[in-house]
Amino acid sequence: MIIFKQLNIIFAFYLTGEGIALILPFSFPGGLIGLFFLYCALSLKWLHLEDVKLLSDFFIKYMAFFFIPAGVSIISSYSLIESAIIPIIGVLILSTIIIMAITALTVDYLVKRAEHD
Amino acid sequence: MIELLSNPIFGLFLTLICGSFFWWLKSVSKFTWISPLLFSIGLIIILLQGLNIPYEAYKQGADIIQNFLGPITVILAVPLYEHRADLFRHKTAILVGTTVGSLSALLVVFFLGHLFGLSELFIHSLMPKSVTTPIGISASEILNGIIGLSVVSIIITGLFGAFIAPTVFKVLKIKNPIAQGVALGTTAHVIGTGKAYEIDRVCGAMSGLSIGLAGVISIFWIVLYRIIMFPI
Repeated sequence: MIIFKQLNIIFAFYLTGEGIALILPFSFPGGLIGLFFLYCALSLKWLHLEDVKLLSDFFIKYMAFFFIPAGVSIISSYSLIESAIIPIIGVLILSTIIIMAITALTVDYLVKRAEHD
Repeated sequence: MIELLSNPIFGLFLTLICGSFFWWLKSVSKFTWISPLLFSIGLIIILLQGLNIPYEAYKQGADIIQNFLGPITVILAVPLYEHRADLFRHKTAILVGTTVGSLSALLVVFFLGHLFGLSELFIHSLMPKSVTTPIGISASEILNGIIGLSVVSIIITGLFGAFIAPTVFKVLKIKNPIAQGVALGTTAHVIGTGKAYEIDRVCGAMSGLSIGLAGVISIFWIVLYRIIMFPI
């Protein structure tokens, strides 16, 4: 029963988020609006951590499983991608190094500055 | 035969079988570098192609699993709430780091993509590459990208980011675990966080927090980008 209850809570937040996303003038993921409401509900103690804990631990542990179908969907557009595979890999590898360096240097600078103050 | 394969339970079953096999293999073997996600995707593609099973048949069941991505995004609120003490303690570093990191992620991919001569469709599919998958799929949808390509690039980025991180930190002489954690979570999402926990606990917690925050902030940048590039 507890799984049903926790699923009901998560689905209710998700569908509320999707409902609000429908009336927004630009496209925005409903899931993120749901995330925001769930965070608020937990902070304001409308919900307790135990009300969602069991289900969230499960989904977070096996989250990657739920990405399998989205990954497999690449076969329906593979012929399109085939010709550009080398530049795509190039962009992925180079950008990953650059983004990691920028983020690490920014935070490192901020932490050092905070410690000096 | 096609009637049986078009039964939604078929796609669901094939995904579950492949997924449980590789997650099991990772848990019992010493190959910690195994990405059960990447291996499952690969095996399912090989099976579908090898056995001539139409993708549309598989999709019937696969969609059931994919529909859970929205609720999973909602669930990302829970780790953010659980680690709120760490978040508030280092709020400036984390907020500025994830904001700068996620903006630079979009800009770097945009410019590198043009430099490498990629079409707009590919650039838009690669832009969410550092965003955690459930949110990255939404980002790809907003930009009308190829969702499958976005997901695969998110996984490749995660694996490569976790692999290269120790070298990047060494070359740049970054020793602070907060900086390492935020960089890992912002760049390499969940896979990077696994690496961050190997470095130390503070680094792991910082990385975990950065995943959700960088995801949320990225969506704001992407919505802004879309409004600027494609005004209605």
